[in-house]
Amino acid sequence: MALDLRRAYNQADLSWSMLSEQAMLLYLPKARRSAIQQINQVLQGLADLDSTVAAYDSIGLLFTKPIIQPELVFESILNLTLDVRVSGKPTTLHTIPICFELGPDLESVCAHLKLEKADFIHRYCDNKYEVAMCGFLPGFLYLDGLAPEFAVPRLTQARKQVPAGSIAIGGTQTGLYSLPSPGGWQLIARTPVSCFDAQAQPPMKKAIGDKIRFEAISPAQFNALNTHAD
Amino acid sequence: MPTNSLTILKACPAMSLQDAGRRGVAAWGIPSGGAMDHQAMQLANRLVGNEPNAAVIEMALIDVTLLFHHEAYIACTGAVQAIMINEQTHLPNHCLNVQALDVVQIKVHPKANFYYLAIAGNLQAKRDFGSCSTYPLARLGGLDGTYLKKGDVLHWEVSAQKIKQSKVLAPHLIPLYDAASPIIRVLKGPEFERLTEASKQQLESLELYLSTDCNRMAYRALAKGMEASDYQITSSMVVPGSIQLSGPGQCTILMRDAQTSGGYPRILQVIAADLARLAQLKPNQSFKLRLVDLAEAHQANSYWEGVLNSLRP
Repeated sequence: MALDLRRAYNQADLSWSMLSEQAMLLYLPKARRSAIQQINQVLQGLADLDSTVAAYDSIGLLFTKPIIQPELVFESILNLTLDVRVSGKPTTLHTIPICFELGPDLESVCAHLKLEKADFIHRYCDNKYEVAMCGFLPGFLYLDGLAPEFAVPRLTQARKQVPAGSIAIGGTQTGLYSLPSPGGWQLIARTPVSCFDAQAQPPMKKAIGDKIRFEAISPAQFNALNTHAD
Repeated sequence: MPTNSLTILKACPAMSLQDAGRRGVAAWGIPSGGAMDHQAMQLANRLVGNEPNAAVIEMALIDVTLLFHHEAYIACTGAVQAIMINEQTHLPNHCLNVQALDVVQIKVHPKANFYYLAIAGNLQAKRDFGSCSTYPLARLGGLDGTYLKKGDVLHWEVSAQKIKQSKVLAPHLIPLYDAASPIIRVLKGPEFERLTEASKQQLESLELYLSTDCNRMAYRALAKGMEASDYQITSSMVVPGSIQLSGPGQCTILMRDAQTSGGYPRILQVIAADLARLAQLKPNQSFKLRLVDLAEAHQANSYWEGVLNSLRP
């Protein structure tokens, strides 16, 4: 069944604010991830849209032109048509091989959590994760689904260079650094697979709402699969 | 195709190729990028008859020396004090003719940061997502995704159109960088209401000071007296110009290579027309804020569009 956003989603639960002359925010505090994902897809049909940043309870909309009358843009968002039978595209599951021997903070993380390494690895990989958000840096994936008891503090001093493909825990969140960059999260493993390719269209194959499963591999398997330059 | 070229004899930190930046990339966490002082870039391009957002060389903080292997029409704008062609002094903000084997030294202005060299024609660069703006973290744009360095050779194709060598900027378009405490116009940000009543009331009288921690991603500034009820938000979109308040008096002003999302309250937003001026402020320099509404911000941006149109070849 096709419904406009105003009816598919309680209008009272939607609001907006300006961010800049060309950007505004749509707030959806009560939406589930699947709804945000679906609404983000239909937003792509808006006129003069540059791109959107879908987050936990908001979607940022950047336009290619100044927003003269934001109320009218909000109105056109409410008029967008949503197919409420299907909950967005079917869920995609990615299996990412990761090598825990290449996680420089694994020892200290396990010590902090008072866990045996093997136990931590087994339980970390036993979980399924979901891409909550993409951003902060090119290709950085924020993943939901970290077991609450695996929360560890961020590093007191951020690393200047985190290797590409690092899997990390920062507070109650876990994530993946696609590119070498500075970072303050604790590095527990590394994947040999490249998750960001500037020459590919789109540059990332993992999107918000996708499910992620991690599979532990040995350093030898890492080397055989390694796509990173360093 | 035969091209003209120059060699960089002396480079500066973060010397890069820039244009207006990338579109349609925020969803992947890629910054828009682009010239820090986009207005100076656009003026340089207009002086040599290029499209305003054509690729230029962005330089900063120290002098740069270039050896031209071919004749060219060039213009320098932004933080430039003088241009020496074979040790002869020339004024910035002019279209100048250089000959093969000329050595061009550009002297930086002591009171600002970024300066630009436009060359009449089409500067060759690696384009990623439709832009040659250099972003080393993801190896985007530039010659090979990195900053320019000594020994690099830049190529350009000459445009067919006639160049007016005498072209010069009107005096009112040449920034002096001498205001003691320049005023930067801002919009209310999405979390403006988190400011305390006292902070809101004294917002326009506050002196902000830039820290030394300033780069293409962000400028940090101290704003004593600016306080909020809470310094965390659920991660959400940010754009260049967003002013985040991460603690009492701790402002982070996001610049061209900023991240695409952040977790600090977005108290204010620098209007697009004033982000260029802000980019030119020096560490420890003070500045003030003036709150404007959306209509005034649009007006300021249209004024700039008008300036660019008036300089059409």
